[in-house]
Amino acid sequence: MTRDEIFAKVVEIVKPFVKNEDALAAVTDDTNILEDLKVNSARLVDIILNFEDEFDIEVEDEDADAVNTVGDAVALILEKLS
Amino acid sequence: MLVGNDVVDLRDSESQPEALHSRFDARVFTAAEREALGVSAAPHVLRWTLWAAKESAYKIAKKLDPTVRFLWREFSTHPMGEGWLVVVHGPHSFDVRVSRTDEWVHSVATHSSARHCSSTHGSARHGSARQDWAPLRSAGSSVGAGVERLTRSDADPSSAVRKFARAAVGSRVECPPSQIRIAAERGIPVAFWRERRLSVDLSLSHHGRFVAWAYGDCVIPDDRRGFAAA
Ligand SMILES: CC(C)(COP(=O)(O)OP(=O)(O)OC[C@H]1O[C@@H](n2cnc3c(N)ncnc32)[C@H](O)[C@@H]1OP(=O)(O)O)[C@@H](O)C(=O)NCCC(=O)NCCS
Repeated sequence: MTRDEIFAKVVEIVKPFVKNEDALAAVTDDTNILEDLKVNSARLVDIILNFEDEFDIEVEDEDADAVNTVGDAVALILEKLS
Repeated sequence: MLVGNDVVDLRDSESQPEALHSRFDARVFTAAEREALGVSAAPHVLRWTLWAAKESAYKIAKKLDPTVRFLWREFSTHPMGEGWLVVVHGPHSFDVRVSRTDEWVHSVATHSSARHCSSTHGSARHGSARQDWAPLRSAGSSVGAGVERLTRSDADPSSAVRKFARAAVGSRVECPPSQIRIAAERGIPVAFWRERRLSVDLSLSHHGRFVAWAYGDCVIPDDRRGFAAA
């Protein structure tokens, strides 16, 4: 899976929980999931679990907490898949 | 006295049990918490009560130590009585008072190294939709908190909660809300009166149709009098 494909999948997984559609329309690696996309922190749990299911990986709580931006999520998934 | 607060809109579609991932509870809650959820007559309310307790404690833990991470199960909740829990995280315990209606759950965590886990709070007064806590006073300290429903004119919850918090802090220090400014340091809200940082700890929260705020130990500036009416 390429980095771009992972990025697209991450955005697709995050999308249902996004409250700021404008920020989503302009999403980049630097987009902050909580602060820019206005995702509620409880929804981060579902997002992390959806990453696990979608990419067949295990994300430790410590790893999950380091995911601030979309780029962080992509990097984490790439690392887990490698 | 440090404060952290969290509000959960119980009717928000995202909070409903069917909207949650099937492993949500296993990921977030300790074995004891899951056991309590398993036997609860109102698991939906309990789930968000426990979550709100953890998150309000986390908001204080992050103030005590900026390197703290929100590892959900490491913030363990311990029921102490009706509407009262203690959250333990590492060496710290946080006293958490929870109020609820059919529509929301609101938790207010407090921490003071000398008094944590004590039951020195006064009793909370709850209204219905518009709820305010009378400042909970203990020796030398007080906590004020409230939940407000957003109205059509409140386009942005962050602005709305700041409006209510400014009014509450302003009322506490006997200043017009227009003289109170709320800024952020590392995302944590801090209050200023006429560009001077107020000696008050503040916490803000918003979810769904509701916003909530809490403050602790609001000290009235010595030289406030004379300015207040200006
Ligand atoms: C603090 C936090 C838990 C609040 O998330 P939330 O439930 O979505 O939001 P709430 O509405 O309850 O609270 C938001 C308010 O908390 C305050 N806040 C933000 N960061 C804070 C912090 N580190 N400490 C204390 N308060 C904070 C702000 O006032 C914010 O309001 P604003 O957005 O209007 O400025 C979240 O922003 C956070 O930092 N989470 C840590 C990362 C995480 O969840 N990791 C888990 C693994 S993925």
